[in-house]
Amino acid sequence: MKKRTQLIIAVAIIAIIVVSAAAYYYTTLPPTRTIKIGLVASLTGSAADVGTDMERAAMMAVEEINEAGGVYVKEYNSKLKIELIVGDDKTNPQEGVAIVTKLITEDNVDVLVGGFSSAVTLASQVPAIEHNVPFVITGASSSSVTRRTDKDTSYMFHYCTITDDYSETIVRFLNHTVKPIVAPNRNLSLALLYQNTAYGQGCYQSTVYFINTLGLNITIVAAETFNMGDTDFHTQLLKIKNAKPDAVYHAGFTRDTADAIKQGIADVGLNTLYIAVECCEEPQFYEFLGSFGDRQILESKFGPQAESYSEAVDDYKAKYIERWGVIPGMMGADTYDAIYLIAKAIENAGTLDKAKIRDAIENIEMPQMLIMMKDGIIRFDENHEIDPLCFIEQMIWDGTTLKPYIVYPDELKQRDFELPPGYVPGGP
Amino acid sequence: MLLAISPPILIQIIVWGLIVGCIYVLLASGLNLIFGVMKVVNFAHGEFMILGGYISYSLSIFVGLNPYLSIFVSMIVVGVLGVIIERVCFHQILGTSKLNELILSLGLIYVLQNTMSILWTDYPVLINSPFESRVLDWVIIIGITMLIMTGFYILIRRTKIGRAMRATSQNRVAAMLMGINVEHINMLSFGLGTALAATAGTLLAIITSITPYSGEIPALKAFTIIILGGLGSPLGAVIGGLGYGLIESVAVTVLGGTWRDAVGFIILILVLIIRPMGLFGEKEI
Amino acid sequence: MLEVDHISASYGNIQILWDISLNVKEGEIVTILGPNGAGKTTLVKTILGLLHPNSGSIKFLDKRIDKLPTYKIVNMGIVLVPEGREIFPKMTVYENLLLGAYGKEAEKNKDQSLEMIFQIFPILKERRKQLAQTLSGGEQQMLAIARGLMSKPKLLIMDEPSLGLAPIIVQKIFRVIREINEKGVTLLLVEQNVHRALEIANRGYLLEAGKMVLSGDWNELLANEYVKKAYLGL
Repeated sequence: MKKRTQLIIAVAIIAIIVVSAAAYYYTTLPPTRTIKIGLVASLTGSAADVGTDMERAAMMAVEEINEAGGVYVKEYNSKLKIELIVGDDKTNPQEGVAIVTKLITEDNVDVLVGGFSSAVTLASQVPAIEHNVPFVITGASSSSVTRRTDKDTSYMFHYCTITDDYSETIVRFLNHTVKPIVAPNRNLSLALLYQNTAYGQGCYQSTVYFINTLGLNITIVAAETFNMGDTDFHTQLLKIKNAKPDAVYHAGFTRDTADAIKQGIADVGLNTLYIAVECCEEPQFYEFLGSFGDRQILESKFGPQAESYSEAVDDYKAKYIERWGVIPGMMGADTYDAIYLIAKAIENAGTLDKAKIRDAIENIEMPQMLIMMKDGIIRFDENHEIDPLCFIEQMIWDGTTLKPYIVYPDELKQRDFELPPGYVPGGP
Repeated sequence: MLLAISPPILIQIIVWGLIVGCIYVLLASGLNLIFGVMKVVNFAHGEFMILGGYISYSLSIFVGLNPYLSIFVSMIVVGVLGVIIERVCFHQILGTSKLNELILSLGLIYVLQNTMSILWTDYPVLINSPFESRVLDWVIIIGITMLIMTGFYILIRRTKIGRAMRATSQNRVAAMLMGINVEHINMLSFGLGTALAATAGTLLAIITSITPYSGEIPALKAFTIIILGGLGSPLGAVIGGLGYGLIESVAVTVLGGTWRDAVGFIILILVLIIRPMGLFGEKEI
Repeated sequence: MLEVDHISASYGNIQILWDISLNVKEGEIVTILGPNGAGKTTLVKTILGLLHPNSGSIKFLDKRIDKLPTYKIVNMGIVLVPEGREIFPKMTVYENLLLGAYGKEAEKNKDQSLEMIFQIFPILKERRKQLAQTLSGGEQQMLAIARGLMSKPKLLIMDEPSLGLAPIIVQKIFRVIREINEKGVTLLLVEQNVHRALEIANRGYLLEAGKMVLSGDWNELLANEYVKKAYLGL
């Protein structure tokens, strides 16, 4: 064989290999598709306001990501757009199961996000667990959504503050800020008034736990309960008054919290420091309390009503108001963050394989967004929970409106804490 | 448990029980009147109460009427509505079957709740008292309850129309034979009963807050009270109402807030075991 | 005064009255006789509008009343003293009497009627503040009659006024019935006690199994062989 012929054959072979390799490569590359995120929200039923807020926030995050081109997924070698599919759990466990099953089996979603009521989410997460679909839960204050032992929760992630976070923040604040003013030489007397539900009991138990674990000089002098939906707290408040507390921690929802504070001050004459939890961070809460809220306390993790404390929150608030015409609510912020978190995890995974997305979420490390983290980094711990930085707001009545300012922790502080007007300290 | 509470606070707890009791008295008396005359159990009674609260609320917000005066306006409005509902709904099915009455009044609950939800939203409202001192409010609440109940007593005991109502409740056929238009009496009793509920609703909105759904539990308690006091016994409704308020207050103090709604029903079961006709009731009305 | 013309009436699907006719003239005492279950009380209820006839007509003072509600019939002047008294147990004697005078006409004459009644039944005056349920059976019957009289009736219908009462009280009641009639009240008396009824009545009707089997003057009926055999035990 001539050298030339050999060369031609060699080139031809190489060419064939190259072409067929390229052809092989291009034929096996999956066709372009969208990333399907299923949002589980309560759009009807008793939590419809919250669900609407979550839907709005999720839509904003998806639109922003898509406008920037989408999410780069290595497997497809291109930027994929996100498609948001919304499912209404109707604030009802059975409906929740049905809608999550539909999102998984009919809409073929890649990831789930959302969920609000603990009771509903504990049911609606089951189909996701069974089908191994990653679910970033952005509601539900009960830690059991990732800590339950009857099901494998390895695909479940909890991007939301839980009752432990509320109580830890509150007792630390009381010990750090309130005790030196009202009870420098004795234990601070704390009373609790809590809803007789998993949520309220969680608040109570974690309060006891953190006082003991952190070794704080706080004594619980009264712990009274009420039923969900109650409007009359006079008798409980009278009993609390009898116990002479320095502060009252009310663990409930917007309505019962505002009712109890008003009744305590106006009717019972219990002029003390009332502490509400972040579930009350709604415009209506401020309206309803009015002047009765003056110098009272609200634990929070996201304060759209407060003075500016974070650029991310300011941006989000401005965009939200522009897009929807109202001030954003509490739960939407978590959902907004979670959509970005999922996009980032998919990019890190480089694939839409659910197991790999799960691993990527588990290993995520990204800068905090709307919800602040203690170290500024979003990451999940061994319980698939985040470590959020909660803060304490003090509501100030200026004669016409009630407005919150952050008073704790020091790094976020906008004002010094003051005792409410007419405050009567308790006793040991 | 009660001994551990200082006397001034104990007195406040008892006073509070009586104030809540006033609301139960008004609510139960109206329910009792309707049951006594028509033998109809109006399950939607609690919704008429809340409607009364909302009307007073709107009057105090939009017209600036003193809430204690608006009680009387909302009484009339709800009473007239009660008359219309009696004519349009209950009158049509009266005497057909107890099941029809039951389903009608259960249906009314949802119609009224949803109507209120559309008109006033689900967000809770309360009526702000015009007075600085809450003690004054409480005195007025007790005073208004006494005034209205005295008026009610005089109407039932001392007037011709009241006599006709009692006659109809004791023996419907005999009342007809006296020349009493019993359908007229049905209508009046329903109107008067719902008007009493409306006053209870206004007072409730002054002392706590209301939503379209706040009527359900108080209505159940009113049933308990009239069963305790004896169906159709007017004095039983008064004593039962005040007693229920007191027991509830003491139960919350001793057993805790979660027992508020349960304790009344426990007492009801006990009383029915011991005295099936109620504490003040007799076998026949 | 009262003309019942060929009426039939039923409870649901069960027909009780077949083609009944009767009339009462002003000032009379007319009696409807018949055994238990003959339909006497049903007939009375139909006249009072507590039951509406399937066919036929009822006229009172030349006006059709068979489609009117009870209270209108009562206010026209037909008053029933019902079987078994049907007083208002938890009201006082006085209140029971006031309820008798519920109609506008009767109310105007309330005081006058009361005076007359207390004359006829002095025991009721004594007991006027007592609850009606505390009265004895005879006293309750007197109260029921007195309450009927308070209505200033043009036609007073009495359904078995003697039922279950001691003979001495029955005697008194019948004396009172005659007394009332003498005061100008027309009476329709429903009785099982044929003998006593025919003693005071002008005329009588005999009702059996929902059908009118016999009618006539008191003496005719007393002389009738069938009546003698079946009702008088002769």
